[in-house]
Amino acid sequence: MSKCAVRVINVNKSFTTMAETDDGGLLKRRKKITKHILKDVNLDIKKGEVFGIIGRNGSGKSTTLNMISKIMKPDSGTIEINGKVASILELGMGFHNDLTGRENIYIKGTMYGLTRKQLDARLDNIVDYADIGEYIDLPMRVYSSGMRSRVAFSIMISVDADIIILDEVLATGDLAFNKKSRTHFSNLKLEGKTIILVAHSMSTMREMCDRVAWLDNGVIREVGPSNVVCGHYETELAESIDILTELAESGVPASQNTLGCMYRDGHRVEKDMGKAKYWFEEAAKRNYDIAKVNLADIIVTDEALENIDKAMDLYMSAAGRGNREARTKLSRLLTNESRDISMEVVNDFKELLSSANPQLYYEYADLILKTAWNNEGQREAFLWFEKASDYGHATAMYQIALMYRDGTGISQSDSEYINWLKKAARCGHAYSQLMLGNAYRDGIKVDHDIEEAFIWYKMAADNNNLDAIYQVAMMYRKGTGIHESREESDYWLKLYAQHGLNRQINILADSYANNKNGVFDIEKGKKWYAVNAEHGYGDSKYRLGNILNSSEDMDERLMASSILDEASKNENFQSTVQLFNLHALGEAEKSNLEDTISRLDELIEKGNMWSANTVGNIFADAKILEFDGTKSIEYLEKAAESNIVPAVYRLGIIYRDGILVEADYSESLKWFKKGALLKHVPSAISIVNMYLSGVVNQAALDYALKEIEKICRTGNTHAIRTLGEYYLSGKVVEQNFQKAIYWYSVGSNLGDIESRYQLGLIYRDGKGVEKSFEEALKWFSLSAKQGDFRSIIAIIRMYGSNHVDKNSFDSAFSQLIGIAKGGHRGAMRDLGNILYEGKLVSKDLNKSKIWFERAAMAGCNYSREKLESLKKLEE
Amino acid sequence: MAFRDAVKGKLSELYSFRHMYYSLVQRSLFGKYRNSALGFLWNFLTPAISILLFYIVFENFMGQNIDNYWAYLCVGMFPFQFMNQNLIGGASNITSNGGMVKKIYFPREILSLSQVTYTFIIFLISYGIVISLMIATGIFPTGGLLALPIIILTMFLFSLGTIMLTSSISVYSRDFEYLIIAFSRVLFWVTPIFYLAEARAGILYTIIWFNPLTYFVEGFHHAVCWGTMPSTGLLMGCVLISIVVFVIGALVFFKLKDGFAERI
Repeated sequence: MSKCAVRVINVNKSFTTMAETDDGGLLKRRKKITKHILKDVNLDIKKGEVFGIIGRNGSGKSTTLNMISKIMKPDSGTIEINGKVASILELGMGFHNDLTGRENIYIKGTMYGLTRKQLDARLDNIVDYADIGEYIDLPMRVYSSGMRSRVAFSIMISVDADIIILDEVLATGDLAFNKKSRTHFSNLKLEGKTIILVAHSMSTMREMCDRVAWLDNGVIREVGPSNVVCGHYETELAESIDILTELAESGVPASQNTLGCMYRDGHRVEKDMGKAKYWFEEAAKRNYDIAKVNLADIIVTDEALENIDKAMDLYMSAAGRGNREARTKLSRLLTNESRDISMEVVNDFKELLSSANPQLYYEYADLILKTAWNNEGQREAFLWFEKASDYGHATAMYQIALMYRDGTGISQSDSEYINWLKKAARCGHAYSQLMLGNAYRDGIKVDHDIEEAFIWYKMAADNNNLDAIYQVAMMYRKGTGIHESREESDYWLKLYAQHGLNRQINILADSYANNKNGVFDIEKGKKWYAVNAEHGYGDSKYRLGNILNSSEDMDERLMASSILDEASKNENFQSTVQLFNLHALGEAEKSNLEDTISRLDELIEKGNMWSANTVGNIFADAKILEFDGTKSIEYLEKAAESNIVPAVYRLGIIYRDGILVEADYSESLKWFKKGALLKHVPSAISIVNMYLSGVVNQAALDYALKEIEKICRTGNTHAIRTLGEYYLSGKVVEQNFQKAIYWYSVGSNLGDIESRYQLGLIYRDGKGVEKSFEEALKWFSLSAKQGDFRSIIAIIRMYGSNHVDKNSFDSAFSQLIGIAKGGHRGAMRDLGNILYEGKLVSKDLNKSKIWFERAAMAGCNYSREKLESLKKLEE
Repeated sequence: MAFRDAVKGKLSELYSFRHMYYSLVQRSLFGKYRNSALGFLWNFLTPAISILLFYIVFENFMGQNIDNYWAYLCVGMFPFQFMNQNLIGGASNITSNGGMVKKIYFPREILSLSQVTYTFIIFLISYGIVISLMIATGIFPTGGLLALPIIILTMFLFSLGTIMLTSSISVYSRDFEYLIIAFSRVLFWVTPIFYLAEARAGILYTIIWFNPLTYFVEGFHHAVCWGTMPSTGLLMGCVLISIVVFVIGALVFFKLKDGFAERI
C-alpha cells in the first residue's frame, strides 16, 4: 500500500500565557493560563493525496500545520515526515519594504530553500505569475496588500517540495488569480505531490480534497472522503444552536427560519411552538418566503379558524413571489377543498410503492410534498425522493437539491445542494445544468469559475434549454469562459431564435414517426423532420436519414445516405457512424466510403476523440469494414491517449487476449494500468485477474490494489464492493475480515446494495466478528428496502430459523410479493414455495399454484416440475 | 557518537540553508538604510560621530597620556561596537524577526549567524579604513600583527555566543531585553576605549578586567596601536572566554529555540 507522507501520532500541545487580572491594586497580578489546544491527535496522510483539515476557528488547525512544518514541537507524541516540506502559512512575511519586489523575491525565495541559481531560472516565471507589471522594480512599500500577497504566492508556486502545506492562503487575490492558484495546486496533485490544505470555503475543500479530517476543539472528530465529512460538518454548523441563535438574533432570515423549524419539530432543542412561531415571524417580516409558508402552516393546523385570514395573507404573499408550495396550499384553502380526498390519494398511492419503480417513488414524494401540512410530510417526501434517486431518477435528484437549498425536510446545506444539483445534471437534467452554470458564473455557493460555468451551460444547451442556449451564444460572442467565436455564437443565436418553433416541430415529427401520443404517420414524420433538417438541425437530419433508411423504397434509401452524408459533413457524429453502417450493408455509394472515413478523420483532427474510439471499434469488429488489426489499434490508441476510457479498456483486452495482434501481456498491463489511473474499476480488476492467472507479477497487483483503494476513497461503490470482496475471499490478498467489514461499511454508507447484503452475510455467519443476527437483520433490511432479492430471502430464511422477529419477516415478505408482482422469476418461485410449504405463513395451495404458474411462464424449470408434481398429487 | 551525528546533521542543515544566510546578510547590508540619502554610509557614520565627540571632549583630559589619541580611540571603538551590537543589539534579533520565525521553517541559528556576519563585515570595513588612515599618517606598527587574526577570530566566536545567548533568552523574557539595554550603558564605561586600562587602580581595575570585552579590546590595542605582542595571559583569556561563552550561548540557544514560535 502507499507509503505515508505524514504521520501524526498521539500529539498533544498546550499553550501557556500570562493574563493580567485587574484586582484594582497598584500591582497587577498575572495569572498563568494554559490552553490545551490539541488532544491526542492522530493523522495518517498518504503520499499523493490532497488532505484537508476543517474545523471552527480555534480548533487547532493552524497549530497542527505549524507542527507538521516543524515550526513548533508537540508536547507529547511524534510527527513522522517522509519527504521535503514546503509550508505556505502566511503571505506577506519576510518582505523588506525598502527593497524592490525583485530583490524581495530573492530574499524570500531563499527562505523557502531555493538556491540562487534556481531563483535566477525561475524569476521570470514568478514575475509573470504575480502579474504586477512594472511595480516589480519599485520598493515594496508602495504595493497594495493584494500585490504583496500575489508576489508571495508566486514565490510559493516555484517552491520544490514533496509535501505542500497551505493554511488558508487560497483565497488570495482577485477572482482570476484565485482560479489560477487553485488550478496550479490541482495540477500539483497530478504530479504526485502531497498537499495538506486548510481553507474555509467548503466548496474549495470539497472540490480539491480527497480526504478531510474534522478537528473539533483539538480532537479529531471524523476522517473520511471529503464529501462525507464536509457534509457532516456543514450539517452540524447549520444545526448548531449557538451559531443559529447568534445569526438569528442578528437578523439573518435563513437562520431564523431554520431555528423556527427546530423549535417546531423539537429537533435538538425542546419543542416550543411559541418560539417557533416567533422566529418564523421574524423571518417572514424580512420577506423570507419559506418562513411565511411555515408560519401559515402552523396557523392552519394549530390555531382556531379566526386566524385563517392571516394564514391566507402569508400564503398569498409567498405565492405571489413564486413559491410553489404556497400556491398549492393557498388554492386548496381558497377552494375549501376537502383534505380527505388528498389523504385517500396518498393512502392508495402507497400501495403502488412496493414495486421498485423509481418513477412511482418520485410521484409519491411529489404528492406528499403537495399535500403535507407539516414537516413530517416534508421529511417523508425527502426520503422517497432519495429512493428514486438511488435508481438514477434525475428529477428526484433535482428536488433533493432544492430541499437542501431551502432546508425543507432536511437541514439546510449549501454544499449538499450543489452536490445534488451536480448529480442531477450528470444524469441529464437540463434545468440543473442551467442552474449550475448560473452558480459558477455568479460565484454563488461555489467558487466563481467562468470556464466551469460554460461547461454546464453547454451541457444544458445541448439539452435544448433555451436560457442556456442564449448564455452559450453570448459567451462565444464575448469570449468569456470559452474562446471567442463569431461562428459558434451565430449558430447558437440562430438556434435560440428558431427554437421556439423548432421544438414543437420536433415533437410533432417525433410523434408521427415513433407512434407517440396516439398518432402514427411516417410521411408526416418525414415531412416535419425535413423542415427541421433544412434549418440545419443535424439531429433531425440524422433521424430523417434513419427513417428513410428503413423504408421499403430503394430511392428513399439512397436519399437516406445522402442526407446522412450532409449531416456528417456538418460534423454530426451520429450520422457519420450511421453512414458507416450503410456502407456495410452495401446501401451507400462505395465511392463515398473514403469520404466518410476522411470525415471521421477530420473530426478526430478537431479533437473529437470519441470518433477515434468508434473507428477503432469499427475496424476491430469487422462488421462494417474489413477487419484491420493495425488500423484498429492505431485509432484506439489515439482515443486512449486522450483518456477515453472505453478505448483504453479495449486496448487492454485486445493485447491480453491476443485478438487482433499477438498477445502482449506487458502492453496489456500498461493499458489496464492507465485505465485504473483514470478511475476505471474494470481495468483495475482485469489487472487483478491477470495476476491470478499468473501472467503479471506482484508489483502489478500491488499497483492495481493501490489504485482500487484510491478509487474507493472517491466513493465509487463498484471499487468498494470489489475491495471488500477481495478481503473477504482471501483469494487476491490475505483474508482480512476487519478490512472487508470496513469497506463494506463505507459502501453501505454510500447506499450500495451489495455492500449491505455482504455485511448482512458477514454478521449472520459470524465471519471475523461475533455472530449477530440483529446486525445481520439491520443490513439485510436496508438492502431489502432497496429491492435486493437475496436480502429479502435471507431475512425470510432467518425468520425460518427463528432469528428475526415477525415484524421484519412481514415487511420482507410483503417486499417479496412486490418483487414477484413486478415479474421477478426467482421471487415468484420462492413465493410459491413458501405458500406451498406453509411453515412461515399459512399454507395456501391455490395461491402457491398461481405463483408457480407465473414463474413457469417466465421460464423457471423448477416451477414447472413443481406444478406437475402438484397436479399429480391432486389426482 | 550520537553527539557527533547531531553536530554533523546540524552543520549540513545549516549548509543547505546557506542561500538564506547570504540573502539575510545582503538584506541587512543594503536594505537597512535604503531609504535614506546617505544610505550605506550610516553604518560607519554613527561610530565615527561618537569617536569625533569623544576625541573633542577627552583630548583635553587624556590626550597628554596617550599618543595619537584618535587612533587609540578608533582601534578600541570599532571592536567594541561590533561586540556591543551582538550582545545588546543582538537581544532583539529573534523577536524582531518574529514574522519569519512564526511562519517559516528554517534553522533559527541562521538569524544569529547572519546578524554577526553583517556586523562583522561592517567591522572589517571600518577597521580597514582606520588601518589605512594609520598607515597613511605613518603610525602603523607591525610588531603585534601575528596576534591579530587570533584576536579577530576569538572575538567573532565570542560575539556569536553572546548573540545566541541574549537573543534566545529575550524571547522568553521581555524584561531581560530591557535589562540588557540598561546594562549596555555601563558596558561602555568599563571598557578601556577612551582611557588606558593600566591607568585605573583598585576596584575599578578589577571591574575592568572582569569585563570580557576588555580582553579583546586590549588585544587590539597591543596588535594595532602599540605594535606589541599581547601577553600569553591575555591571549589565553581571549581564547578561553570565547570558547566558554560560545558553548554556553549555543547550549542555551538550542535548548530554547523550540519554544520560539509560540512565544513571539
